[in-house]
Amino acid sequence: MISFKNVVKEYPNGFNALNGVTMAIPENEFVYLIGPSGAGKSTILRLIFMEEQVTSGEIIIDKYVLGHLNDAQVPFYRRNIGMIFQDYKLLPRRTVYENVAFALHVMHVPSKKIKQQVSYALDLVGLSGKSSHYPRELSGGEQQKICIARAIVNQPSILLCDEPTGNLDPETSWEIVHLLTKINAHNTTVIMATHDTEIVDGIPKRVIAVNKGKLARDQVLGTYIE
Amino acid sequence: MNLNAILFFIKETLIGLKRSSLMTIIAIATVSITLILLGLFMLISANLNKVTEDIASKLEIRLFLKPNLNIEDIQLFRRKLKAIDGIKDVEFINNTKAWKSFQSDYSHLNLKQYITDNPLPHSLNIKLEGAQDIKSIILYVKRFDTIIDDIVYGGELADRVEVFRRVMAIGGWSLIMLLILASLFIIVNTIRLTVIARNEEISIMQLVGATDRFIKGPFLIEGFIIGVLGASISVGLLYFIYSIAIHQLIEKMPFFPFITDDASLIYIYGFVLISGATIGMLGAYISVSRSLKMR
Repeated sequence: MISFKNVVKEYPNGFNALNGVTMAIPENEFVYLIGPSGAGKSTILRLIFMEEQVTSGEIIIDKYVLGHLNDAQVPFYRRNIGMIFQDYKLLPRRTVYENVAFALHVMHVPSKKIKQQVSYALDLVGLSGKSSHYPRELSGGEQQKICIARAIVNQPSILLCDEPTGNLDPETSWEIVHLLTKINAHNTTVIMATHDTEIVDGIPKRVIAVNKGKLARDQVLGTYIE
Repeated sequence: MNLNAILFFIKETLIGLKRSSLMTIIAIATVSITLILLGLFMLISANLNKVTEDIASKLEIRLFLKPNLNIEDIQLFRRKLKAIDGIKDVEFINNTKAWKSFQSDYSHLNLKQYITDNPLPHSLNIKLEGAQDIKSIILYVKRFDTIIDDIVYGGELADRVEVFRRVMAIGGWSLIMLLILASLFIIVNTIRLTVIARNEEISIMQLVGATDRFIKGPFLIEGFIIGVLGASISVGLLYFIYSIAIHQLIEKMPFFPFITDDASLIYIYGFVLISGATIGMLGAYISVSRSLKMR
């Protein structure tokens, strides 16, 4: 369960990214977060991921009240959340396998379990045969799949996707979104910030639109344009 | 932390060292140079200290006593003095013995012809443990003016020795602190370069929920390795330089008690090694803490 109560976020430069956002996203939901650039989509994701802190208001994610977490608790909180990016954020000098396993090493998972979980994640995204490749040897879509595999390898309850198809061709974008719906079907809440009209309209899900830091629309099985 | 995590730590450290091998070599060289200077200073300082102590240990205070004191009173006073901190020994010099030895030393003067009675008083010869106590001991014994007639001591020399020791202690340790700060500064900056080179990796580590301790670990080990390697090189070179130098010095100045015993040298080399490891880890810690805070 993700709950925003009157959340305001003002950046140190004075930019008011969010201006009183209240919303609730139940478990296992798939949500498109849409809106023009600078509307506050990424800020919402960053606040959930605790890369940023609210200026006022309250965010509750599952059992965590984010404002009450101290610096030492943040890493443990983040282990419940997977995050994927438009630019993948992969380690170029590590293989596909190592990139995905990295997330588990960080959590001190025993090596036997790491092998099992990484194989499962790579299998799910369809990269089993390329585990010893380096990211640069793969296409953009495949790199995004590594990023997805890394995000879900520890089976987080929430998956945050910041424009995951932003750098991909339409065909690969569809593939990625189908993959995300598959992950959603495995009991993971997915929040996907996107500009992709075709995808939002093609696979209808709940749509939350933000504009100028405010909630503009919240629609079950919505479309990109109202 | 399980074995898997430790292996991961070590692997990460080695990757880090290998990836930034040039910077690592520069850092090791800088630590070596600094610690060679530190070690040389410590060796010189220890030797000077020993020489100074040697001079100090030869310092004596001579108390000429009032006439008509009986031997028991003198012995009592002698024992009282001997119990004082900083006094190594007090020797009673009987005036008859002193007069005889004086006469034999100056037998050509034929003193017996002119002086029939023994003109010398009984005296006490105080041997000090170190020069630093001389002033307070003199102030103390001056109080016994019913017993003591005159006090003779190498006051000026003692003062000089004392000033020299003080300057050396203050100057020496200031210099050592300065050198340690300088090398710390260099390590902080070298590790910072490694941190910047691995910035992306650090941010991904934070992204996947790595704790600060987990992120800092490999850098701390990296700093430790740089420090210990740098220190080992400097200890090797110091050992070599000192063996040659001390051999030459002993030949040229055999009357000075230079440090040649293993215990003192091991202490100095051990200090250099520990300093290297500490500087390395501390530098890495400062560096990584700063870069993590910036996020």
